Amino acid sequence: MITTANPNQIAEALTGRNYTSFSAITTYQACPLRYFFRYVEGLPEETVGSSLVFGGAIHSALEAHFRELLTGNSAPDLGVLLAAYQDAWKERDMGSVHFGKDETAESLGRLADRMLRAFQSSDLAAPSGTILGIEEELREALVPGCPDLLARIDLLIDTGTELVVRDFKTARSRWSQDQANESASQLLLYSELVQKLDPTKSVRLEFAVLTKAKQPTVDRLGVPVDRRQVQRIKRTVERVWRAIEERHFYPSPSAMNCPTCPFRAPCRAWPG
Amino acid sequence: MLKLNVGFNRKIGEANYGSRGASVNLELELDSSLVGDADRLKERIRQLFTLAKASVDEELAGNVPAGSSGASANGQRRSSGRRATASQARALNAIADRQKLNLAALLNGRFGIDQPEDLSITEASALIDELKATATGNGAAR
Repeated sequence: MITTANPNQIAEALTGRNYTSFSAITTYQACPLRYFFRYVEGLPEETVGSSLVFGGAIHSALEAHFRELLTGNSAPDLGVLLAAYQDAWKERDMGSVHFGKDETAESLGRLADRMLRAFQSSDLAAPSGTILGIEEELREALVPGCPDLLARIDLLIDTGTELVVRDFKTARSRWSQDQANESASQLLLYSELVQKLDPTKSVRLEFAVLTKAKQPTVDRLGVPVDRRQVQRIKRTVERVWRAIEERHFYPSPSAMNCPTCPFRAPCRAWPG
Repeated sequence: MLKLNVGFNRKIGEANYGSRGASVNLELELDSSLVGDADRLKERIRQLFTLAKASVDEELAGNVPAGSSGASANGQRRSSGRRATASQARALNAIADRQKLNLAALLNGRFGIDQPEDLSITEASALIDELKATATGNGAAR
């Protein structure tokens, strides 16, 4: 008997998850073998960069802030946000965190304090409109022939006429508009998922960038929803998925990516 | 004898967070000699997908419910409407806990459902606002 499996079933057989994500797709684009180790083999990551942990912990603090607003409470004070930040760090095995030069958990804690203060005093802390989602997961079959795409949206707001998708970023320096536009692939793809929630409203995409500086800044940068660009991204996802489906896994050595790759040992041992 | 199963489904969005979907699944028995002829087999699969897709599109195009505004009657569950987000459901549970409110009873009495996840996005937003207003003395729930 021949049965045509649907893409979700194929994804599940390959990766153990019956969906894919933009992050998985970009991992493959950066290095197909890294994708293989992470998503197919499910190898544990030996190390994780401090900036990734730091960004995740800041997200946890922001999540705590917006959850309070959604439930009708007043904005939480700094102590609540810092507790959420610290809790996120506690979930990590500190031995596996790779810190940068002159960087410690304590110095990052002080940085988080400054950044969260800057956030609290910015207009981003009091969004206008109705909060619909915080770290909200949306899932839909967006690309023909590909598994469902699972998206996690930092903040989703309904202004009455628009659905606003806000993506929080922590960055070393302020972003230019060009930088926002160049980083918008994920948001553009998510715009399709959000649009399905209500096709009568337009979708607005925004980055909220908090800088990791002595005096942190908080900027909001909009990204235009370019439908042609969205289609281009969808076609790219389709092609990447086809390569994954056909198990085209190979290393893509890169002076930029390899030094921080958590799979350096299995990569060296990979027989080809 | 080969058995070929092909399925196609599509969901389309509508106003007020609504959506409609349709799916078609076809099962066909084929001559087992097709196993050795990949091109012909693929062609048959393509034909079935095309047929399934056309049927789904036709169904969705010609089956628009008239006057589907999504308004809900008290105590009656409407069928359409995007489900409340997980954040909204969590918020409703948190507010109900804080106000010592029997959320299941409220949902059942008003919407004919037992859990906040079954509300539509619009209903969940309105209920959150209402319960918040109740807490601040500016409105009345129940």
